[in-house]
Order: sequence, then C-alpha cells, then structure tokens
Amino acid sequence: MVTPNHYLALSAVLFAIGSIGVVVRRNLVIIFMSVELMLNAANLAFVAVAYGRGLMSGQSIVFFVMTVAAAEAAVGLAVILAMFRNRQTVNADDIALLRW
Amino acid sequence: MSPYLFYPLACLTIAGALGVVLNNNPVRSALSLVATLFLLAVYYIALQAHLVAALQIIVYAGAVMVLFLFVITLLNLSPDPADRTSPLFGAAALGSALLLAVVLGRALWATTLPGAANTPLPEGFGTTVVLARQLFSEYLVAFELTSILLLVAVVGAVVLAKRDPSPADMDAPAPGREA
Amino acid sequence: MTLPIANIEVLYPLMFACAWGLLVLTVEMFSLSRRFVGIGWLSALGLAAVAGISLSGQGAGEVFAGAVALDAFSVYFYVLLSVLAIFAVFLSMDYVPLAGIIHGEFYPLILFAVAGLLVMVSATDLIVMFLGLETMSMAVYVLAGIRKDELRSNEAALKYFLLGAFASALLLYGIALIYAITGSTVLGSVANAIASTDYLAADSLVLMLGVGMLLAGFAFKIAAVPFHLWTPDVYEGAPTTVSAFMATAVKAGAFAALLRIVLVALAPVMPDLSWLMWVLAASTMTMGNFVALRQTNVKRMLAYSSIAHTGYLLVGVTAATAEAGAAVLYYLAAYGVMNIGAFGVLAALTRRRHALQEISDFAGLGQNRPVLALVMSICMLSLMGMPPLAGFVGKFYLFTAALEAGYTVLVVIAVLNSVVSAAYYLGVLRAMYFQSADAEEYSPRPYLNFAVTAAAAVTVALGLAPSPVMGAASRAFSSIILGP
Repeated sequence: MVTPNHYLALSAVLFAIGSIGVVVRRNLVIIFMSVELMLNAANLAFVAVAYGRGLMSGQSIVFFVMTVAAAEAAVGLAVILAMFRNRQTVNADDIALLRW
Repeated sequence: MSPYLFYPLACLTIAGALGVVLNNNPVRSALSLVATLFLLAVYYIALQAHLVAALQIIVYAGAVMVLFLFVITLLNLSPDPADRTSPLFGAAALGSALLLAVVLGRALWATTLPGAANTPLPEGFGTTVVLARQLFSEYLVAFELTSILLLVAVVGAVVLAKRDPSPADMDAPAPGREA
Repeated sequence: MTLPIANIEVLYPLMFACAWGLLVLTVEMFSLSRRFVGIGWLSALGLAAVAGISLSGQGAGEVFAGAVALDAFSVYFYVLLSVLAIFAVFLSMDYVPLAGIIHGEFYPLILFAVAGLLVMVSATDLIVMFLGLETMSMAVYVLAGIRKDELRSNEAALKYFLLGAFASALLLYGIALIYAITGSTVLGSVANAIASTDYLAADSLVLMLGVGMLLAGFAFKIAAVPFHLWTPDVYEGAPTTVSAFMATAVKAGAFAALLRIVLVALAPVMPDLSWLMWVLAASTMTMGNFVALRQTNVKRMLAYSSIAHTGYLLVGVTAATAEAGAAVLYYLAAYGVMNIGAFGVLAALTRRRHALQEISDFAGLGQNRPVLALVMSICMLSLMGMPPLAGFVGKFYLFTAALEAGYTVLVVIAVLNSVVSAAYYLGVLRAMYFQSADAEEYSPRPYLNFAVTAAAAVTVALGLAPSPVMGAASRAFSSIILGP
C-alpha cells in the first residue's frame, strides 16, 4: 500500500535534487528552476501531510506557495532580464564584478 | 494509489527533476520541469487535492512555465558547455545532496502521521467548498496578503523590465529589444 | 459562513500601511516632478501615521483569526520599523535624484516592504510570516536593482534574489517538516504539540531537520555566518539608501520574526539547540569583524560590520532570558539609528551619481564638512560601543544579560570582538580628521543633512536616556513570553 510517507520520501528526494541544482549549476535560469523544484517538493510534502492527517490546511498552504512562486517568477525573470540587457550573460561565474 | 502506479511514476518524476538539473540546454531543462510539475499534479489527485491539482496544471505548469520559456527564448539562451563547477566541488555537492536525500527521506519514511492508516478522512476533504471556506476564514489575512504580494511583484517586474528613455539604455545592444 | 471580523482593529496598522502604499503608487503616476520629493513627504507622512495608529491601538495581545497579533511586541516593532523607514525615506528624498533613479515606484515599494515587515513581526502563523517575508523580499529585490543602467545594481538585485529565493525555499521546506510533525503552522499550537508529545527517533529527526532548515532560512535574512556571503556585494551594489533600509529595517524585522519563532513555537526544543545558536553567534561576529578589518571600501566595511552586529544580537538570542530578549530589542533600535546615520553620510557624499565609498574619500571631511564628519564620528563610535552612546548601552545590556544566563565564554569572545572592531571604525575617524583633502562643491542636500543629524541626535539620546526605550523593549518582550 502506498502511504503518505511514500510521498514524503519522494518530496525529500526532489528537494535534494533541487538544492544540488542551485549549488552546482551556473546558468541563472536553471538555478532559478531548481529553486522552483524545491518549492514544489515542499508543496508535495504539504499535500501529503494534509492527506495523512486529514487536515485541509496543508492544501490551503499550497495555494499560497503557488502564489509566491508565481510572484517570484515574475520578479526573478525581470531581474535576470535587466541584468542581461546590460551584460550579455546568464552565467553566475561571469558576474564577478562584485566579489563573492 | 496502487504501488504499481506509484513506483513507475516516482521514477519518472525523479528522472524529470534530474533532467531539470542536469540538462545543458535551458529549454530542455524547462520542459523537464513542466513534465515534473504535471506528474506532481497526478499525486495531488491521488492525495484528494483536486483543486490544487487543477491549479498546479493551470497556474504552475501552464502560466509560470510559459513565462520561463518566454524568457529563455527571449534571451536566446543556448547550451553552455562551460556551465559546470569544478569536479571536486560537484562531487562534494552531490555527496551532501545524497546524504540529505537519504537522511531526510528515511526519516520521513519512518515518521508517524496520526490518522494516516486508520481514521477516515473528514467529510468533504479536498473539495473546493471546504478549501474556499478555509481560505476566507482561517487564512483570510494570508489570502488578502497575497493580493499585496502579487501587486508588488507586478509593479516590480514592470519597473525592472520596461525600457527607460535614458541614454545609457538606448545604447544597450539589440537582444531584448523586442520586449 | 462567517468572516472572522471580530478583532479587526488588530489589522488597522497593516491595512493602513497597504492602503497608503496603494495611494502613493497612484499619486506617483501623476507626479509632475521627476525628483519625487512630494512623494517622499507623502510616504513619510503615511509611515508616521502607521506608527501613530499602532501606538493608539494597543489592543495588547489580541489576535486576528489566529494569524496576526497586536501585542506589545508587535507595537514596538511597528513603531521601530516605521521610524527606520521614515529615516530611509528622508535620506532618499535627496539621494533619489542624485543617484539618477527615475522610477517613482521607489517610494511605494518601500511602503510595501514595510507592510511585509509589519506582517512578519506580528504574524503568529508560520505561513503568514512566510508571506510577509516574501512580500518584503519581493519589494527589496526590486529596490536593490532599481538603478537598471548600473551593472552593480543589477548584480546586487540578482545575487540577493537568487540567494533569497533559495533561502525562502529552505525556510518553506522547514515549515513543511514542522507541519508534518506537529500538524499545525500556528506558533502556539506548534509549541504545544512539541511539548506534549514524546517523539520517536524518526519524528524528532524530522523535527530537528525542519528546525534547522527554518533557522538556515532566517540566517540568510539576518546575514549570519555561514549564510552571509551575499551581504557585502548586495549592500555595495544596491542604492545606498536601500542598503540603509536593508541593514536596519529588514534586519530588525527578520530578528523579530526569528525571536517569535525561537521563543514561542520552538521554545520546547531550544534548550537542546542553544549550542547551535552559540556557535552561530560566535562565528558570525568573529568572521564579520575580522573581514571588516581588511576592507578599504566603507560600504563593504559597513556590510561586514552589520554581519558582526548580527553576531552580537545572536548572543542575546542564545541567552534567551527576559533581560537578554529586551536587550536584543533595544539593540535593534540603537543599531538601526546609528547605521542609518552611517549609511546616510555615505549617501550624502554622492557625487555625479556615484557614492564616494573608499576610506580615502573621507579624507579631510573634518575640515570641509564638519557636521557630516561629526555625525559619522558619532555613528562610528556608537557602532564600536563607546560610552555614553546608544551602541555602548545596548552592548552593555546584551552582554550583562548573557553573563547572568551563564554564557561567560561567549561574552568574552564578544568583548574581544568589540575591541578588534575599534580598529576599522577608528580608521574612518583618522581619515576624516588627520588627513586632508581639497574641499569639494556639493549641491545643497537639506533632507539628507536633516536625516543624518537627527539619526546622530537619536543615537546620543538613546545612549544618555535609555530607560524609556528599554522599558518599552522589556514590556514588548514579556508580551510574547507570557501572552497568548
């Protein structure tokens, strides 16, 4: 039988994959997509817990997380766009003007 | 959901997530993400979150990912062979991510959710009516706050993305002009 | 179905802040002047009204729909954040045209950032807190990058955005794990669930991982080691007055939210984690101070100094007694005004769209611009912890409270750190008074000069007469410990 714990474990794997993407990749758009993956892992965890505990609040929370993700996408892509106009790169290593 | 459905789908989801992270081509990465988001919607249906599943497809896999693909094509991003960190750093990152996945995954696998097996779900669980009631009572503040959040995002995106009539901006090279 | 409008007064300051943001956003569209001074006045007026409304509406401890509380703690931070934002607005009224910022959305975005901060400091539900944090962050990402033709500003926005989004994802997953174990995101229920249940090994591991991720997410926002790497770059690249806002108001808001979480929701597990806070505090202040020693750029130096101050504040969070908590609240106010003064002087030295930032740019300031030099000296000495200024009083309260709680070694480290920090703060003073340079011509900057002088005056006043603010701080702190 598939229990909510199966989904929780899957969400942990997705979260780990997303976080490694943020650390390893240098393409800004792909880093950002990895962050989206992490948010989705959290969403899956919320929905699984909601089901496992019979609580609706988890589903409401997912609703808010989706809003946040949409807002982040709009602002984040605008930031990347503004950057790209001044400098033709989306590689995090090329942005060494300010020191890490 | 039956295990015969869950495990193949889980493998596909993980493959999709790895596709996001490992692809050199940003367009392929984005399409892998779309596939992953669709698969997540399937789980949401199995977990009695029907409205969330619909929103996942319409808002997330639909609107948000279209925005991503739009920007990728607008910037005309091509595969970047230099997009890798040093092997040593990569291996360290991979190791710690594996560790995180194993520790967290195992712990979550073994954790107890009261009511997981024996108690039936409350009546109306997962219906739009119940969700809507909750959004407008328990989460009213949060719900209203999202309107401010979205407004800030819209204003911010316009401020950053629109072209200014300043001299420095006029000199900017061609890509992005079609915005 | 009934809407929960029983205690709606609790929301008045928040509703007003949001409504005023909308008003300013609308008025700004019809602004004739591209200097936006009138818009600045309008924003400052609204912020003052927010402070007034929150002071008059002390509905002590009343909670709206389990999501937002207007207890003394919230009121303290509502007033503090409004005051810091008013300072930032006054600095900006001269700085915006000087820096060539042509977007009138600057001021509404500050107001929305303040609205997000207000939600953060008064939220009693982790999800509402998260949404407040995101609203604030979204506005600040844009503010950091609002000088679009400046590459440094672009990069500051980008770096802050990517790391901020990553931190938010960590924070959210932490909330998800805590929700999995406790079945709630409301701070009080989380605490009850943790306290009343005996967890199996797997459950408590999940809980600890959740708490760890939550703390890591906050460590990003308050710039604690090892999540501090963005700070110098973002503070350097962002417009100076935005850096001032980030270093003071955003940090105060993030600390307030952290205090609420640590002392309310996680109170049952915090004794097991005090070693973690100890290590965070010690490494953050040491790292911040020693790297600050090597900086020649004053903006970067202030950024590292702000990291070091995060460390001092974490000493108070580690001690977690009533005195230590009140001292943290007082220190956030003191640190806020003196840092506003320091960043304000940097903004006042802006010339031809570029802030002068190197220590050598301060040479001769003592002769050429004696008032600015005096303000800078007061702020530097206060940041260093020189009596009788606000910084000294704050550190004194913090360190004695930590001593009483038994953290002797940590306090020794903190005091040694303060001694080390004298080296770089005094470096600025030496440049101002013992090196000479030719006088420069400056356009008149009335608002900037007014704001930095006021900040210096408040720094002195808070040091000479700390008791009113300290009293408010201790009342505020006890309201979250004893209150609902």
